[in-house]
Amino acid sequence: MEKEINRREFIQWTFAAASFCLAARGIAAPVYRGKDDPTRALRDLPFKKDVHLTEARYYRAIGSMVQCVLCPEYCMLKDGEIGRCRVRLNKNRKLYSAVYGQPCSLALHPIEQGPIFHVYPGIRCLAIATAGCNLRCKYCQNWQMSQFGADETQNYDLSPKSVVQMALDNNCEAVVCTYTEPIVYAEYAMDVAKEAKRLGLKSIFVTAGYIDQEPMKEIGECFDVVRIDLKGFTEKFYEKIVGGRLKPVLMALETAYKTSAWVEVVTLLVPNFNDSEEEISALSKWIAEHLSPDVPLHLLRFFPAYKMRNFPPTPENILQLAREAARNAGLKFVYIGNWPGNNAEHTYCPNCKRRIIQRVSYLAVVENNIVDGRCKFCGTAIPGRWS
Amino acid sequence: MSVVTHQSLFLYNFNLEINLPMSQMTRRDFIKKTLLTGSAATGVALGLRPQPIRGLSDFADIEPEQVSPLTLHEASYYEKLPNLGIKCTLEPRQCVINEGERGYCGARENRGGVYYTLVYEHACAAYPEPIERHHFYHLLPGKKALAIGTAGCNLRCRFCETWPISQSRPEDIPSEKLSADDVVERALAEDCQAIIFAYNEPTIYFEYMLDIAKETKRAGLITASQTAGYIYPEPLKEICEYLDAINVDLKGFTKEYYQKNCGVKVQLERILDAIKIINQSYSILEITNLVVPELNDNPQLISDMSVWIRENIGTDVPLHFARFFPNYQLAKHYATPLETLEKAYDIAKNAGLQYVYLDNVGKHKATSTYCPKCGETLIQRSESKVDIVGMKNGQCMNCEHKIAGVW
Repeated sequence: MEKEINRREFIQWTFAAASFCLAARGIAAPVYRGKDDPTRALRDLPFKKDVHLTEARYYRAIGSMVQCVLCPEYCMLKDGEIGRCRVRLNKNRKLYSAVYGQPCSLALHPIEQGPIFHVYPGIRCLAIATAGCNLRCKYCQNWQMSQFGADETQNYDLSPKSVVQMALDNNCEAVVCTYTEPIVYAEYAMDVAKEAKRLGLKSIFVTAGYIDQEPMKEIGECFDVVRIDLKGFTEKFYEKIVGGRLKPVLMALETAYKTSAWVEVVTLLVPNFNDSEEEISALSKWIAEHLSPDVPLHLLRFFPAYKMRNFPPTPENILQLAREAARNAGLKFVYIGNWPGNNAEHTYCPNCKRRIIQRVSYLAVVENNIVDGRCKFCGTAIPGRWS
Repeated sequence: MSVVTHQSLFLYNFNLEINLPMSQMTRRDFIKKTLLTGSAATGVALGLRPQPIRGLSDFADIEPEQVSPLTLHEASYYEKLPNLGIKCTLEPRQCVINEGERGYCGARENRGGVYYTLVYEHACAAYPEPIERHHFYHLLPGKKALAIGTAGCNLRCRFCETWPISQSRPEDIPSEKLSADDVVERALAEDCQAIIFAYNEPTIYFEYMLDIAKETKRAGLITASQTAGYIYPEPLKEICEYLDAINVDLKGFTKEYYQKNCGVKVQLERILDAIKIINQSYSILEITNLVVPELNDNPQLISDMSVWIRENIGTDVPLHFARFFPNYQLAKHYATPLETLEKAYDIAKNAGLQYVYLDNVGKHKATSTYCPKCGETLIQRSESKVDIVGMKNGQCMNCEHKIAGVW
């Protein structure tokens, strides 16, 4: 028979546990990635009170309505209506962006956090993001920004010039448009990229690829690196979990690969939804066939977030099986992400099979054996941007 | 122990409930219960109803638009039938309309055996826009035009771009009363050099179009019209005399395509005949083909179309391949891949057509005009920017080749 406790004891224990929790919170120091708190330097920036509108590109006026042709939603907006991304609106037959020059998030992190592994390993980046997103991923990790409009987040007031200046002040070598879907602030992102190029910084675009071909082409020409999420390989997954469609993403991937930008692909494996070996195999085959076997594929581990808090993280053996399937399908560089300490986060030479870049999670590059874009040991050219 | 009591009580009550004969509930009780349940349900429903989509009305000050009252104006092409019926002879659908009914277009109504148009001086759209937006590339490049449209259409294209206008009835969407004089006045005030009948099928506001065209000619402006070519020869010939340019939307090149996607059972020859009539008339002709992936992007059909144009119309007629964006009933389709359009461009060029363009593609070299003789760039187009670089008085500056069009 279980030991019974009386009411007094119960209350005592509860209070003790609660006070312990409160005390622990005060004692334990917050954990930041890297040595110093990277966001501290940027935290003193004042917030902007109101939202201002800037005329957008990629739209067509149709009668009193406006059709935004930026992403494959192709929203038809009546006067005063706001698009699916929550940040583009029709006002008097003109489409306006409500986030131009108004990022809601600024942070510094190494390029590996992209994850981007074949481009300038270890450089420090300034990451910007604005509110809004054209997708509705149920496992979104940035939903506090991506699933809100520009008037619901706290925004800074930063012109493209000040963004690049801030990157220079913080010893960054690149500007990354990430976290939410940067296509919703395409005009701003492109202006930042142009300004960065002018001052000798790299620019990186981290997107889900749910973009019309035309803006995708232009983005590929503006940015040095385009990292695209191929979230699954079935229309059902895109429809149910992501809230988009697969076909336009594949078209955008092909378009991006044809431009001058370096392309890496990311797939987040959600257990029982898109982690089957057949699906990963088909996805990898498609990449090898339509893009190139040299394109790095990152398989990310899923952690419960947003509307999928009740699902377990991806099991480790599933990630390894998926990596095997992708390698068997012909891809040369397949990485596993969000799993610190695994062997698949390093780069191995496809020829001599030796480890040429050793990484510690997304934090740091410990060892880099690439000299002039070639493996130091056997001289094989490693695809990527290395200097 | 207590649990058992509870359960038995519940069972007892339950049995009691269902053993009650129906007659024991009085009418008063029934009504009371019904009303209570109803109001409770309504309350819950109201409480749970999703919030309306948030508009950014705080920083987009929008004025509500007005619907102007309908006016009647007698139609010009119809036949009277016995018993107050009439038959429309404007376009090949030949609607037979009883008293009080409307035609297929939704813009014409039979009242007491007289056929009236409801959209006369009832414009739903009158906006100054670049001429290129309406697929005219050989007509006053880079200039502005006042585009006019009313409600209603005699086609039901599943990919319609302007469906909020064309697939509505005149009383359903915001509109304003604009007489022919007002239209010309507005065009002059907005610094427009032309008036374009666009948005919906201008055939269905034939009388209005004719009056505006006459007035515009009097004022010395250019008139142009977009059309699907689904019109009888007589009205077409009548309107052709007042139009400087006509852009025919040749939607596909099979009868099945028209039937399946545009809602018309028509022999393709009828549309092609209309194109021939326009070609013989005074007005200049441009042809647009909206390329919808998987529906009409077959290279064989594009090749057939190009050859037909070369054989029957001539090689100097501009042919536009427009990019399709998901819309209306094909909203879940995907936009035309740029590769498909480039392939169509090559096919038409190889068939011998001199001026082939890609529309709705932003920055693309196939949106510019090149001299068919020496290959020099004449008009450079990129997004909304138009630069006339190598042309003077309708001639190539390099080789003095004459370019067809209104310059």
